[in-house]
Amino acid sequence: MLILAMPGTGFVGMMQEMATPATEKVLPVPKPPDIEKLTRVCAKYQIDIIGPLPE
Amino acid sequence: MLQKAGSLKQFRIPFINNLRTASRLRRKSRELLDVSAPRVVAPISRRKRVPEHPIALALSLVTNRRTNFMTELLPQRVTLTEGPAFWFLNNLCILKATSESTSGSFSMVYQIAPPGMLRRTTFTTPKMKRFMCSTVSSYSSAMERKLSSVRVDTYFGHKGFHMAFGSAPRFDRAC
Repeated sequence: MLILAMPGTGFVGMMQEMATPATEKVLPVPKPPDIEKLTRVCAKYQIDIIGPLPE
Repeated sequence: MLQKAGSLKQFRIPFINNLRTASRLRRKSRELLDVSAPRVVAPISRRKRVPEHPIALALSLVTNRRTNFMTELLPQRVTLTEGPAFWFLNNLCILKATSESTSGSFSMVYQIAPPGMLRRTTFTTPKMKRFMCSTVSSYSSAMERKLSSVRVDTYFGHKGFHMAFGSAPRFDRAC
């Protein structure tokens, strides 16, 4: 999936801060996310965690 | 009298020259406008190479560098695996373009989700949504219905963890 982010949203910045550099270009081992860090980073970039999409 | 004739001759020559030039120009313009007129086309080896972009070429001549900010703005091609990679919420994300590289137009991230993960196409701004919906017309009606209720950026997750993020430009947020 391609993600296009417009400047000013800070979305890619949030992704980069939340992400960890990939040592190799493979999918990571699945693990539960660090919700505290995610909430903090999203608040910093003014990004709302909306929740699951309506079915 | 001689002086007068001489002066007339002197006057006539440039006048005739002008007429000749005018007729030559007229003939040339007729040739240019007439599609059926035979034209002499230089062989490929003698043709001048067309530069990729005139401003880029001029800048490369001035700065004596093949790449400059103009050539960097020209369409570029990246492979699927090209770009810095990072792991974000169990997804592999490869950064394709930053707002710096696109001179503040957009950022682009290629996201590879784990198998079985629910994927959705979501959009940041209504403008982007309209553009994408018109491009992917076959899915447009379904997406319009889905997105009319909530504005969402993108969707990440894996089994048992689903999350959607919504962000808006600052000016939009202020409204």
